[in-house]
Amino acid sequence: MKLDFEETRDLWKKFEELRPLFTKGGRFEKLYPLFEAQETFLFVPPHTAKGRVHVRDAMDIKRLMSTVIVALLPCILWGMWNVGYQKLAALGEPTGFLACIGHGAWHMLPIILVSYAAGGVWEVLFAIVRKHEVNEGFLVTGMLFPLVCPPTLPLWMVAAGISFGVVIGKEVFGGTGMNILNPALTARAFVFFAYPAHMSGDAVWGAADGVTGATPLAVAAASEGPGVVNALGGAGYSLRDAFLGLVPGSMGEGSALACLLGALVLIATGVGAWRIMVSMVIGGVVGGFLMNAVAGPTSSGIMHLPPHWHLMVGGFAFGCVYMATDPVSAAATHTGKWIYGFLIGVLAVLIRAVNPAYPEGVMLAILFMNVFAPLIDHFVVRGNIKRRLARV
Amino acid sequence: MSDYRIKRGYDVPMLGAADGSLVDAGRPRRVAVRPDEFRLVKPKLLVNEGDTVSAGQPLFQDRKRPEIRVVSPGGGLVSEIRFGRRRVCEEIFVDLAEQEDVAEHQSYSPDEARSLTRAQIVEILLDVGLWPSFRTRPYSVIPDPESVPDAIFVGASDNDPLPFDHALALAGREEDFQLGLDLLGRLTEGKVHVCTLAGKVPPAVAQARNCEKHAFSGPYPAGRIEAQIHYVMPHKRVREVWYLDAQDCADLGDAVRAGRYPVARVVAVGGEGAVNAQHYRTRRGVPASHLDPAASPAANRFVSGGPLTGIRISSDCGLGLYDCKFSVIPEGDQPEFVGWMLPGFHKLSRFRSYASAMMPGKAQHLDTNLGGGVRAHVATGIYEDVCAVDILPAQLMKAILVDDVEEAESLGIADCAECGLCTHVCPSKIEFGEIISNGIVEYLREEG
Repeated sequence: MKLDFEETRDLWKKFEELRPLFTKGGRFEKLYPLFEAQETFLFVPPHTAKGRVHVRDAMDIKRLMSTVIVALLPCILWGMWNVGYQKLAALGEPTGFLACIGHGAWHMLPIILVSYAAGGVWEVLFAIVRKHEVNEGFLVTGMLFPLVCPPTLPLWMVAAGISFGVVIGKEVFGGTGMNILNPALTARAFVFFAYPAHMSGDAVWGAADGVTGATPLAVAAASEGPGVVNALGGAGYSLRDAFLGLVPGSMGEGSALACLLGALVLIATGVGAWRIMVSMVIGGVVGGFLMNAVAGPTSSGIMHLPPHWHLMVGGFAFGCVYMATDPVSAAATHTGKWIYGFLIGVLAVLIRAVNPAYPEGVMLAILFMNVFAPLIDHFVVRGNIKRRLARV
Repeated sequence: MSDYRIKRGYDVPMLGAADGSLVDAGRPRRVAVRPDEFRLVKPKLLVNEGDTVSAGQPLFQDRKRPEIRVVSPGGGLVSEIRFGRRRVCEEIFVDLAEQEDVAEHQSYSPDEARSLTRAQIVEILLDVGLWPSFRTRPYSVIPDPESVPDAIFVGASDNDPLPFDHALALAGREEDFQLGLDLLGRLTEGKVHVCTLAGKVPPAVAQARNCEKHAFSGPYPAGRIEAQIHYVMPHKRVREVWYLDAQDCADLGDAVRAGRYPVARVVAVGGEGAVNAQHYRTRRGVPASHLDPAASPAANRFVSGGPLTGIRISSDCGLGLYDCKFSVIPEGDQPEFVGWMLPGFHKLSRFRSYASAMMPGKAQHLDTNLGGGVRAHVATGIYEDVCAVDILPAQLMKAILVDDVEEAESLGIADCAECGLCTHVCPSKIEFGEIISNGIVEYLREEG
């Protein structure tokens, strides 16, 4: 008996008693996905293996997705602190640790709650209508989206954004596992293009009213010529600040250090695709050098930005660790992952450098490569087939 | 002797592997045959309940290829025939008589046997009832007696989580094994290959002649003959190879020499649920309950074969023709409170998200629980990580599910060693193995 305590045994008995209500012919048959979600949240179900493979790995999708949430914790906690810090620093108030966390949480928690609530409603609704289980992938989507939003985003836009992401980005394709685009990024792209005034510019990043602060990428894009690092220094951004994430920006994505910690969790547990992370960093560095090489004396400062700066600023690190590695929308084959990640890296820097209207190129680069991932896989699969045909 | 190192694969660290002792199990009260273990065979019963049969007498034949017959592993009374859904015959039980009748055939001295022609050997094997010991690569079906294989492989190794020791089974049978190899040499126009694990070559194989020997190393399925063949002679459309277990190879020599169906067999019993996990000298078709009567049928699942590839049977049902071991695995039909949230010091996973990852390779309790709810497929890439035969399991699965036979073929459905690893590691709990196996049957039906 795996249920060691009487309380849990009683709870399980309750579930068993309620089950007939939710299964076929039951009064709440339609709500079965909700029942299943509750049941499997509290208990690993007693289902046993069928077929010829009688023992199974203990990993399930719930654990897989919650591992990603664990990997997101550094970004969440850092983001919470930084939102408060940026606000208090801009207002010239003392920036004690608790004060920063408190102010950050004040701005951040409502956005996270709204994201989970609004997205969760859609997720459950679709599960009920389409008669499939509530998929745990939403736990990740619902958290990723707030982390790439500015702290000033109105809550109704959060709800609109996540609804778009879940419904158009995922459910219309048939739900988890079938979507082409990363739902969290789809949501962000929707808000970005639908409400640009709230997603770009210098005014949105600080939680303090009326205080503006340009992100490092905006500073770099606005400067001219090879003195870009000095221009960043002039705006108060050192490489150390960028690495630690002491800069204004989206709530959870600014700290390359936090992303690095998350990457360690994802790679150590085998949950995140290290191939994508490594190749995207390589792509970013290559892209950076490429831009440096073609930059003229009067071109935008971002063309001159050294490659390692590209990795530290904006959403590069966050996109690399959490967004590009989404197993559903990324390339599925090992070889494909190398190509996919590398191209995202190059493309992200390219968009940043050549299109000053979109200083944040990572989101667009990932969405773009999401669309191409099936094509990349197609060629990798053809390669596999060709290898085989060469001998048969 | 050539060496192969298999890089991809996965050793599931399980408790309860059979130890190296070999004990006499005595005579079971009854033996059984399971017609449902033969791929594509539609059984036509040749006996009825209440009939008396002799050891080696045919119990059923294939409807399509009547020359393929499966014989009784013992003499006595056909006491029970169990049918499953749609009256498909699942199990035939024979209660052993005190004095067993034996179907006698002509016997040959080893020298005579070595001068037999191919046609004569085929005839003898069909008569004696050993023909079903052969299976083809690809697809693992009983071969057509008319066809001539490009090679024959003998599997003398096993490194699945609860391995069987071929050295124990072949000890003292060196001459029969050699005679078997020589007869196999007659059956093929190519070579006879014997596959072993490096460092675990049974003495009978080490001293064998007239064959190519291959030693494999690496994680499971390095010891699985279906995977080994992929490395030595990968599938070609114009090529068919046959394979059989080393014990069956020795039985071949025995049968031709003695002129009767060999019923003796060395069988391992392993698994956490086994009380006496060891090797037994017993006979074909023996029920698990005879070998390890103390293992509880209520708390355990009895599997004929390995934990990743075997067929679930009732504890009184007999060992499969192709199997040389029983796996007794605790049933995991109990819920676990918030199990997926726990640190999991004792949860086995190839992902390293449970605390057990700090002790890699340490065997842990493992039961038949799925370990989570069935979910949509998520492309984690883990299938590719564990697949030893260079196929893309997820893509293959999808091709099969949309009935794209051509695509499935080009994606390597013929290469699949059916080792069960992709099913084992799948976090979405998808039955990859069943899907691929059904795909193979579908493919073969379509090809005719």
